[in-house]
Amino acid sequence: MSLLKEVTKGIFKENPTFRLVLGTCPTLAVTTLAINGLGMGLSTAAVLIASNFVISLLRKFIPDKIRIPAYIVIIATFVTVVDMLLNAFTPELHSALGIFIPLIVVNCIILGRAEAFASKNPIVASIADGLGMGLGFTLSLTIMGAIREILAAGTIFGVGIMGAGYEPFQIFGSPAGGFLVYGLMMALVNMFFKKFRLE
Amino acid sequence: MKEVLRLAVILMVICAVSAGVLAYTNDVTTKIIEERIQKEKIELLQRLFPAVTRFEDQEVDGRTATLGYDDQDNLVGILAEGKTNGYGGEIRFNLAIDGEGKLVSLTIISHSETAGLGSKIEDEAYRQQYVGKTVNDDFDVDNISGATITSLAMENGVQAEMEAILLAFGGDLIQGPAEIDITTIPDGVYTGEGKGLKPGIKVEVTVEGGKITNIEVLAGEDTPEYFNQAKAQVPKRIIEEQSVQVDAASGATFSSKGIMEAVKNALQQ
Repeated sequence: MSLLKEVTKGIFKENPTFRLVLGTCPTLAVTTLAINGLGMGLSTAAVLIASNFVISLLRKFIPDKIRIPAYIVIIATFVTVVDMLLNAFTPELHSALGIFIPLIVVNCIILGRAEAFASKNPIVASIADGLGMGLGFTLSLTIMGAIREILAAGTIFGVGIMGAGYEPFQIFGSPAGGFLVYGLMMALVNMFFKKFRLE
Repeated sequence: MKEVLRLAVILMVICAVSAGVLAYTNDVTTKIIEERIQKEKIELLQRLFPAVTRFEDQEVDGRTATLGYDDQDNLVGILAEGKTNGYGGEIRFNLAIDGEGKLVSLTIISHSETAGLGSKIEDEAYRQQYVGKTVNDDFDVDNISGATITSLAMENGVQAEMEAILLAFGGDLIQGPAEIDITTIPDGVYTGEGKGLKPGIKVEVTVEGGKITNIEVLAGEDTPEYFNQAKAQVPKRIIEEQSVQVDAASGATFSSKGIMEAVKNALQQ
């Protein structure tokens, strides 16, 4: 499998949000606005690339039986270090992404990819996998955030686009609306895959 | 047995390395972060209160504030955090109060209000409505439509927290109407008006020999149940203490305040 394929599978065929159904918790929680989806997606992508790299590097050292606690410790350490470094050296980036970083520790995409991919594959392929999954997650969250923001507030990235007469569907800003959008989007994606026999 | 030991040792090594990395990173970054926060704070203070040359952090009753002083050591600004309960949970905000007891800036730190509705408290146009108010002003600003609970929480919360901050750190800055010197008021009968829960409280105050000798409450639109309590207690206390700022009748705070206001109003004429 070529590297490019490792990257693109995460964006489309094995999209973490709609195909693998990983990280649903942050997906539902942060996609009230498009900008939040983008921020969460990019933060996750950065951490995912790095954690895949470290896990892949240590894959021969970590025994199978204790791999899960080992991964959790490594990922949590990693996220905390990234959080502290961002805070110290790039405060602007930290204030923009800071609220998402603690959420990443418990994001199962990170653990999921460590378990399913990085622990079995060489370093470069693992980085490519992290990049693709990260981008796929970012894309899905931004789209979901945009849909919910347009429906719930009539804006996208904070810019009004629906005109003054638009009556917002407030439910889409609430958790219930998150489930609705998530479900419908997953149905659409599944329909698309069935129709073109991509499975 | 050997296997268990091997696994435990490996996991321990991973944890030890993690702890080491965390401790080291924390050590390196803490200082940089601290310095940056201090620098940002003084910049923020100077933007809000140009006269500030020095600042210090103070804690009173579990509330912390940054107090800014000018080169003559006068208190020219207070920066402190306040909070209130909104529709979705706690709303945290920063208040900046200048040396005249006026609010110069309100910024939202965090909230969990409905996105697109209550979240509009973050908008500049909404927050700007509070700027320039002193704690005794009317905090009734334009509400955000569709987010009444959030709006009310902000109005009440900002005022209450502003008062609490001023009481804790800068009591002198409260622009309260001063006590009236009753001894200088010539003898006579004065009438005045005040606002309890509703406007329309009327009183008649008799002054003899530099003392309030009688207070007659003539009218009031508040709920009689509470208003009568205030009417029975507050005039008596004012006469006893010869002061227009006395304890309110409990359970009838608004009516009590209204009567005090009316008496003060009468004496000021």
